Amino acid sequence: MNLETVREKSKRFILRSLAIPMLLSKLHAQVVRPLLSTSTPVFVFQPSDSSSRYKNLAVIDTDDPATHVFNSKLRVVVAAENKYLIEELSLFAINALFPIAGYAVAVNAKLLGTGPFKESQFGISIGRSLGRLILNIQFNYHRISIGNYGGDRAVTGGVSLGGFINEKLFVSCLISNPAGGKFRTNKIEKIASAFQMHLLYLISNSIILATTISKEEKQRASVRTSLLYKMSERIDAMLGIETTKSGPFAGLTWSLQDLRISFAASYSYPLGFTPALRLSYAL
Amino acid sequence: MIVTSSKLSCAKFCRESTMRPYLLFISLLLTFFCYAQEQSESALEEQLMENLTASSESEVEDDSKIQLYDFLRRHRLSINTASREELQELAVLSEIQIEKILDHRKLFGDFVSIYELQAVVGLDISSIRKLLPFIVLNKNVASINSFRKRFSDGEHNLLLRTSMTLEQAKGFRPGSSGVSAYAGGREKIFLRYSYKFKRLLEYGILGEKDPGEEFFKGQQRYGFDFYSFYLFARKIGWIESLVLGDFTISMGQGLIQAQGLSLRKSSAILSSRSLGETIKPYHSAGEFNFHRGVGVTLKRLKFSSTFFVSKRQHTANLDADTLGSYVTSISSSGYHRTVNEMGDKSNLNLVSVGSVLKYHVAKGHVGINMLHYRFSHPMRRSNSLYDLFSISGKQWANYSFDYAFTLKNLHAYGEAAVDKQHKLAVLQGLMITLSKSVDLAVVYRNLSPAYQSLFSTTFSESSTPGNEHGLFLGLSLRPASHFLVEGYADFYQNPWLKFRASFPSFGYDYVIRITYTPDKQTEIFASYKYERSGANQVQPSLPLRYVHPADRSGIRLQLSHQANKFLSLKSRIELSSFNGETGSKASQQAFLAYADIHYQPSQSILSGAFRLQYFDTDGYESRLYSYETGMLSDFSIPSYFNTGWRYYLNLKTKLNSNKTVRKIFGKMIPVFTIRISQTLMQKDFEIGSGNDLLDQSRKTEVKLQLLLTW
Repeated sequence: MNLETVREKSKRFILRSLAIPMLLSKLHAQVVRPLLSTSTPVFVFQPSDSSSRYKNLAVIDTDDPATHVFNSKLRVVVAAENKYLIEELSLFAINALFPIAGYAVAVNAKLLGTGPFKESQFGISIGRSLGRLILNIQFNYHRISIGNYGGDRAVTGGVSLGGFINEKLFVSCLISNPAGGKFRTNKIEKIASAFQMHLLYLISNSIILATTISKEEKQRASVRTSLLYKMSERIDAMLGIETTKSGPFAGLTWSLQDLRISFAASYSYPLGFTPALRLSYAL
Repeated sequence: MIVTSSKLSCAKFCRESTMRPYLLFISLLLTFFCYAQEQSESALEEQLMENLTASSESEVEDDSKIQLYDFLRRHRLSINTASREELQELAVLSEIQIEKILDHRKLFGDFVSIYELQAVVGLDISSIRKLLPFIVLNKNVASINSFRKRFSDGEHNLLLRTSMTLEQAKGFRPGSSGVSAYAGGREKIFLRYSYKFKRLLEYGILGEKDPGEEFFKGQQRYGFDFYSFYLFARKIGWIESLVLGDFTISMGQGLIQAQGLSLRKSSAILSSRSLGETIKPYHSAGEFNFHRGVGVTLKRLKFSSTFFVSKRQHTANLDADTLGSYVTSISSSGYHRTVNEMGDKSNLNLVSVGSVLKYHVAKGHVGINMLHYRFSHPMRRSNSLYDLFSISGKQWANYSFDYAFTLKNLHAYGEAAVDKQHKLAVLQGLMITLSKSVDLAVVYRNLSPAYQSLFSTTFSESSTPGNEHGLFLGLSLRPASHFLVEGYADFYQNPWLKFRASFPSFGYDYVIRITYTPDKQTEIFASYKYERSGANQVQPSLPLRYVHPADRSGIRLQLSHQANKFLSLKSRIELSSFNGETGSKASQQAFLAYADIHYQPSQSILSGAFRLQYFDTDGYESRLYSYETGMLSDFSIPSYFNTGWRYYLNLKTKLNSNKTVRKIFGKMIPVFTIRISQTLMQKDFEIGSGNDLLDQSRKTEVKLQLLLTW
């Protein structure tokens, strides 16, 4: 591949993946606020990849870092969410996944909030397939900014271990910030530790049941479960529920060659709708 | 807050004093693993009825489904001639499955073997197993028979049932004036004669006297407090069905009318949601939910039209002011025991007129439904704010449009209704078979807070349609041949106040049920339910009530096993918790367990059932329900709270093998059943309330039933 082709591809990628979020961010005023996680989940079917060991499983992109190892190409994901249609709660995230010499390396930046309260998170994760098991280690840098009170910083880490129980069931566990996570200035506050369990069950070649059970420190356990249905080669649909938000969510994904555009919305009473958009591009 | 089972077990159930009952049930459970055979048909019926009545918290007096199942077990449907309506009426298959059976029959001709059902796309083994007790293969008889045959070749049934609670209730004891509150005796009497020839002709009459009501004296000079009769015929030329006497009407999805049992929220998400035929004969003891008059359905080519006129008297409370008397409430209990209850009897004349126009296509229909009511006295709403939109005036009307169609693996249905005040109610549903092992159901409803209707039940959290927006998502999954996973999530909000919620509120519930059927004889299921709903909380220091979410969660484990050809066993353990916010309701936990033994030999004249049950709850808010089979056409779903034991014994004997009996009864087949049940509560616990308060901390009920069939 010559330099010209790379430039052309990069240009196309930037145009395709940033056009809609840029439009969104304009619509939603000044900023961009980072995301800790897109709370309206946007799952995407990954097209069969001949180089993937689990090509028949049509594995999906999720928040689960363990699934990053299934990426055999450089992939960039951009996501935005407008929580409850409240501008001050809008979210923005960008992820880049690199398969490097048998390792899956991912870097991400998440920005949450506009106005006086802002949070940002920058992270790097490294995953490796160890036979039937997949190990992933993640480090995050958190920054919080509260109006005139100033800002504070914290560093957290997490580890996830996953694997295929059988050909149809993938399970992974993620422990985030089991110890530490205290802010540099305010020693009383800390980033909460959390435990997550992801289950992906391949019902058929076109249907996946995905369930995530999360338990955050001092919070109720939450269950998010969804059904992902491949309607056609290009269109995937998703329908699910999340117990913490006590509401349903639904979404659609269009696959256009290497670009995937996902739109999802969740509803929670009495706060209302949360739309989310995600673009994923494989180079 | 979600309360886990471990929390329940640690906090409450490891108490030494209450360990013995659990050990007993565990030992009973262990006995289940010692045998093997096919699951009994009655167990299937019980499961179907539990699904039908899952959301019902009151005593259900509509036994029409039980009667139907009983009739169809003795006169099975031919799978080669069964119509869509007949299969819908069973409520064991989804609309898509019914369509697949009809398609299969159309494409390949008659079924040549019952095993051919396995070749029907979309029909899984567990659905076939549910269907089998009600179907046969043979192409039975022409569906239309001569009139003479209809009147002569059918089956007659005469049922006499009487029951009594041995402990005396307060209402039967003389009060300070020397007169008891209840005018009549303690016995309950039910008499029903019915005749049925296939689905073509039915007629019958029934009478019922509730405990405390007079019998052949006082105000009941003609014997029973309640009489009902019906004559129902199908397929007479253009007349699809004709009814005289008592009947029920079901329209669309029940937004404007659905009398009788209709399927509400349950884990059986894919059973047919159809309410079945528009007109059905009424032959149950409930005294409220039916019409009395004449109804007819005409069918020609793709059009069908139903018309009915009904005039009947209801028990209603009247009040009066300078403008005259008006109705404050209509009673649905059917009790006329006290002076007040008897005074309310027949106070309200209700004239109902309605019609249904339907256009049928190959796999669906569209319909227009109209209803009009005229009250003899004007209805008037109470001063309570939650009652702001209740029906008022001397007339009421509802209109709706409904549709249903099946397209490949998708079944869509819906109804949009308006009432006299032009308030709107909409319900839309979708069932999709995504693959051989996955089914999905989605139901959306948007029922205006001001929408009102009479005799209606639809797919909603509230018992009547209105004041609710909600979305239901259900999933049925068969991950392996022996496993079935069913679950649903339902989110709803009540935009206006409701009874016991003085502010707009919201709620949701989640249910998951995993059924494991290792062989044809054994079924094990575990289910978990979590629900949150808004309810009034009373804080003595505050002048106003406020709505706070109340959480309920429960785990149910059940094991059913057919030990051999005549012995089946069942056991259930249920743990539940309730978390309110204030006072005694703050946090309650509950436990219930029972073991059933059914003895039903095919040749022997004697059969029976025995249940032993233990329950322990912290209070009324954490009460638990369990379905109880009684005798034929008799079932109940009582609630249990506090701590106690319950047992019942049913003994049934077919007497026709005895020569003396045959001489007396001739061709008649007499079946005699006796049932003894007793609830034993902790000492000093009062059972019942008001006039039904018993004088002892136990309740013993004896029932006798004689059924003659010829």
